[in-house]
Amino acid sequence: MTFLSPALLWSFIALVPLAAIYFLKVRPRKKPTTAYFLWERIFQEKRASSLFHRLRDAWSLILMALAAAAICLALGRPEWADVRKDLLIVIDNSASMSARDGGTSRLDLAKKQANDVVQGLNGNQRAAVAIVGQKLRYLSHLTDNPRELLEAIDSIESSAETLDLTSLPASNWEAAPQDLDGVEAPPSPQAPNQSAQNKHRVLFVSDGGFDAKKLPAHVELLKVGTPLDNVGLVAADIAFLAGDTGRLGIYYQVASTFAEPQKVDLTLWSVADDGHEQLHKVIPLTIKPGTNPSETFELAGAPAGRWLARLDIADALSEDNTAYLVVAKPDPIRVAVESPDPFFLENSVQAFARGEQLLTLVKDSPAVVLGKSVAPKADLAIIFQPIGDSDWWTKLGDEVEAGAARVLVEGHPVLRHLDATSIPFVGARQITPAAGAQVFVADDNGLPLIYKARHGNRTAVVVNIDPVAAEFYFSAWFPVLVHSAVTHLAGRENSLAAAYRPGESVPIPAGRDEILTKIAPPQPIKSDSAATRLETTGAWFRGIEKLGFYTLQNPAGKHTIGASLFSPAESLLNNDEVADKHEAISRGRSPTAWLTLLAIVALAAESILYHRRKVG
Amino acid sequence: MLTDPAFIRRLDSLYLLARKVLGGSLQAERRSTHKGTGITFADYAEYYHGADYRAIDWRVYARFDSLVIKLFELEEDATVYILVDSSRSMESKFLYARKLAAALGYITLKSLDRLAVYGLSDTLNPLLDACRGSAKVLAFLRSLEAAKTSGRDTCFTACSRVFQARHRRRGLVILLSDFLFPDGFEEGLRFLQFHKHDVYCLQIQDDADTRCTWKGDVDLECVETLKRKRVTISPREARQYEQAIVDWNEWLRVFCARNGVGLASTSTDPPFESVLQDILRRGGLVA
Repeated sequence: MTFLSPALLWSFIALVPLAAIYFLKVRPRKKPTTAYFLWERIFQEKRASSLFHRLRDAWSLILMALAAAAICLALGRPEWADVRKDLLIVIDNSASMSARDGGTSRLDLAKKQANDVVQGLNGNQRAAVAIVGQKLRYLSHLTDNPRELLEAIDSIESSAETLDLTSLPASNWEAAPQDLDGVEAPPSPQAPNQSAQNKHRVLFVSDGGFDAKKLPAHVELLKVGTPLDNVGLVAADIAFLAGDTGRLGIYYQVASTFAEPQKVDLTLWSVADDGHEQLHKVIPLTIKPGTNPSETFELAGAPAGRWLARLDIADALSEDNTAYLVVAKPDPIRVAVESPDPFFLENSVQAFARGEQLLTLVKDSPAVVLGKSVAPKADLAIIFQPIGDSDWWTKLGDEVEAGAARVLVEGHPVLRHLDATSIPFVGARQITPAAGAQVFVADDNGLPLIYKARHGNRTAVVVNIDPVAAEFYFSAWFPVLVHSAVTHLAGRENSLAAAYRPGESVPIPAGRDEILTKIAPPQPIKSDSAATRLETTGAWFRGIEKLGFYTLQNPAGKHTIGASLFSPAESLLNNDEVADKHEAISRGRSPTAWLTLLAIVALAAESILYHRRKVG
Repeated sequence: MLTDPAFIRRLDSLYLLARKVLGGSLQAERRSTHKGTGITFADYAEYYHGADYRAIDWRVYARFDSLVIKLFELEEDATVYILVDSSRSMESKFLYARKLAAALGYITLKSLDRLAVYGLSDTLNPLLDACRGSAKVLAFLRSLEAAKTSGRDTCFTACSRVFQARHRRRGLVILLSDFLFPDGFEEGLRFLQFHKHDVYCLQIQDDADTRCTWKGDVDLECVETLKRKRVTISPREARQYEQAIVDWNEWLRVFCARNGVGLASTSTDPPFESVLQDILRRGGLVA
């Protein structure tokens, strides 16, 4: 044991006047009595307690000296150990931490462990608190104020995220993004050198629901929880079978940590808009230990919309027993063709109408017009072989021999799955796009070959090619380009999946920076809650935190997405393969706290004796 | 204080009250149970050889032919002994006790009875030798006024024996004390009764005797023996002490009632005149 303030141990001198005061204090008052013999009779009967009475005065001195000594020692700020490094306490906030372990959750156990560690800091060591799931979030500054740390720990709530070990802080505590919960990240060391690492520790409080080999070497693990029996859905999908909107194809996979096979019913429910659930199928399963092979089945006469897959079992983690799935109702994009020779264009549209029903060929009220050698007046258009005057180009020259094509905007949705450099842009003409146009592909000389232009609310993708001369209709890239361009213009380039994991990014249909999307999170939903006013802009929604159904609403329509756990690492709760890995760390209350408590107890005992002395 | 004119006037009024209450003159008229040569007829008795011829009732002889003699009550002066507890335990009550003794002695002397006064402590201290007559009143009061508490203990039994050795003549013994005698009061009272004294106890106690208001650690000191004891008095012990006092006083009452000893108990709060009046109205000091 060491003392941080040994000079204050001189306060032991106070014991001398204390003892002197004690001897003055214990002299009782003299009381003359006329019936002394009666008093003698009374106290003769109490002779048994006279030994205590004689020793009581000595007890008083001992207790007072003990209290004073404890206070003096506490002033010296004793420590169990003298290794003090800045400490980052990272608490695992993944879904598996919600598992019930002996009447309490693993997260509560982790919070208790973190509390013990903070109390062991004794205010002499700086620390910060963070949680990790998909991302690392700091909940406190780097501080030596235990109260701030304890409040941060107390504020942690369970989440449904999966754990991403790569989100753990680096060995030199690289600064975290500033927008995390509004808490400024602890200052990172000036340089990630060895001396800096020696001053910092990362303590990860977790249930060990991960591959221990992937845990960074600099992270110390403080494991909580014991192996638990659990069954969970680790994967599921649901969609209409191709070309048949009356039959659903369902895929699922389950995992178990029970030692013996478990017989469990998997039930499939559809959920109406008013929340009413209707059972469609019950599948008896025999779930073997570990991750089971995936299985599929079909369901006839099933409606589109919200679906629930449930495992009827009471186990350690209830969150993975339900999968929230959404079957999107087919909503093909209406496409019209304007061309002197529409055959190939129409067939390219119909090719996508037959299978997944993504497109449908129409003549009236199209969403997108597919044109060749014309300049459609539609709001959204794809134009092959530009000709004449148009809002989409300011100048159109003669046909030129295009050089080698170069992609200027890599990864743009229009070019998805497309190898633009292999397309021979035969018949390309000298063209000057309209102001503000975005050129995706150009030749060596900068001749625009594929670009997107806007004019007011209208948008068009122009492909500077003669498809007949270039034999582009026979190229595999033709339908690919039609598909990508149409879905991009319609804002449907990213179709919604049946379900997403918490923390995953969800594409917002027609989502753009200028379009506001309102998001309604899962239950419980209150009309005045902040959750109902959640809004975002852009093409992606990254705010899935709970399990259930989210609703996204923007000018493109109302869309429902399902959020399900789907993580073998979170469902398989047998954490016995992961062991504690940490250096010695002071935990529990500090010696100062115990000494203070001892002083209080001694003073309380002495006050009882004093009270008896004063008032019997 | 006891010789103040004002105090003596209060005694005078008490004496008048005593005369009124007890009826008639008290002058040497304390009736004796002995038959003698007084003038008040008491009874008849058969004539016996040697009897006084003058006592023969000749009327009875004329009617019944039987010689009987008339007996007359013997009128004699009584002796009153006042024993005042002058131990240190009476310090707070001593003035009150002396006032009561002064009143009783005053009435006695005014009634032409004999009076002797003693102080009781570890020894018997004479305060006034046996005397009679109103002329001794002032001397009596002065002796009371000069009396002080003394001694290291109250030895009632020993004092009773000394008293009896000095005064073989029977009389009315009035004891003024708190009766908190460590050796008990029973033996002394029995001894006085055995020697045919009429014994009357006047118990005087104050709150300091009957109540315990201290709590906590105290150094108890006996006011007489100066013995000391460090004790812790809790409410329980205080209740035990108060109960012990109640039991002690109750035993005194029971003992006096069983043995025909008169008893009156008082505290120092009521005026001593009212205590005397109460005693006189209840039939005087005769048990």
